[in-house]
Amino acid sequence: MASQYPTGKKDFKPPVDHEDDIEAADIITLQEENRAIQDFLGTVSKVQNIGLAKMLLNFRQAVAINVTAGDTVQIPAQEMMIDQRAVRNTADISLDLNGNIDGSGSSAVSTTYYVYAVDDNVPGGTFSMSFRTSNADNFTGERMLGSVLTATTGSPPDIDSITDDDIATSTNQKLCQAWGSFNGTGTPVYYDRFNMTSVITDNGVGDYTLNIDTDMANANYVIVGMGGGSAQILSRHSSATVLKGSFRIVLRDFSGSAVDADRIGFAVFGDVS
Amino acid sequence: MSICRVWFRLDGKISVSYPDTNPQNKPSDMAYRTWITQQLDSVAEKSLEFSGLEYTDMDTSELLQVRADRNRWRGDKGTGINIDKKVVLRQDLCSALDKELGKPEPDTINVLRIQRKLNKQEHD
Repeated sequence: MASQYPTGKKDFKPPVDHEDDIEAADIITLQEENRAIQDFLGTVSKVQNIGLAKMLLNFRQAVAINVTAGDTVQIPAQEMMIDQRAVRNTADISLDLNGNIDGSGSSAVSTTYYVYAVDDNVPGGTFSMSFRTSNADNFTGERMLGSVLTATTGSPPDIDSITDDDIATSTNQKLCQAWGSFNGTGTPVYYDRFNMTSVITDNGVGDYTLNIDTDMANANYVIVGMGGGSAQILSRHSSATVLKGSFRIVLRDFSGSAVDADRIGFAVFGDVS
Repeated sequence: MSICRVWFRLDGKISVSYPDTNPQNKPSDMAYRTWITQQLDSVAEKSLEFSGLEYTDMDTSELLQVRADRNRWRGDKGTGINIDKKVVLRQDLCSALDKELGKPEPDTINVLRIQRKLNKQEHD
């Protein structure tokens, strides 16, 4: 089909990282990218989603291209995932095994394809696409959506490789650094916990001292949580010194009286040492 | 057997630390008692409010079993844990206030007195 449109050939090479040049338009395209991934995942089964999600998260380059009726797009034969949006008549679009999108017979005014390159061996860490058309003015919509890795060697980041230990020692303030869920009635015992030591100290009704396994960097951390039953308020104990490795909390009902609860949950955010 | 550590606070109040006693969670190269002691010793290391306090380790079955009186637990290492009935708790003041307000003609002075005590009682 490409031979029908011998003129107007145009090579497109997405730019490499320009982290300092982020503009509002970049944010919009990233939103589009996320939406495209979500839409794409929604078209396959749950079993397929697991592997597919990993591939998409590892994509090296992603671009969006607008194909107008009469256009043909040729993509180098690589391992790619291609999603199409707003196709009015899918029968008009053909996609061969080499990744060539032929929109020559499309009745769509404009169709956007999202192309994700996941091949480890993309020369230079980028890939290029050739556009053929009978009308060069049609090609105004192609743009890069994102780039994860532009190095010629090495593997793309894999979120599956993040471990609990990575998170516990992470200085990323966006992450929860410790959390727990415990039964505060009778003999207090954890249901589950992360980065908290196993010991719970009962100081009285609804009054507990809990210890953080890997200390926080300072005492400016935040504790959020809640208690079940009649417990309505969880707060730090008024007389306890705030420490990097432990904190004392009190559960109260609306009257202000301390109360026990059979399920108390909390999470700690802040800097870790 | 479930061991706990009873801390005798300087104000006479009692704190009790409960370690993980599930043998399945014990490191294979550590004796059970050593594992328990290590957990309990970490409490004073982590929390300065327990540093220097007297304590005794005991089986949880030896503790007073009535949770309703938990905030009346008082004691020291010599006498152990006792229930001090003279301790007035916030819930006692709330009950007294409700009782007074429930009367056909509440004693205003008494209501104010109880309310004042409630305001001063920051924490049980």
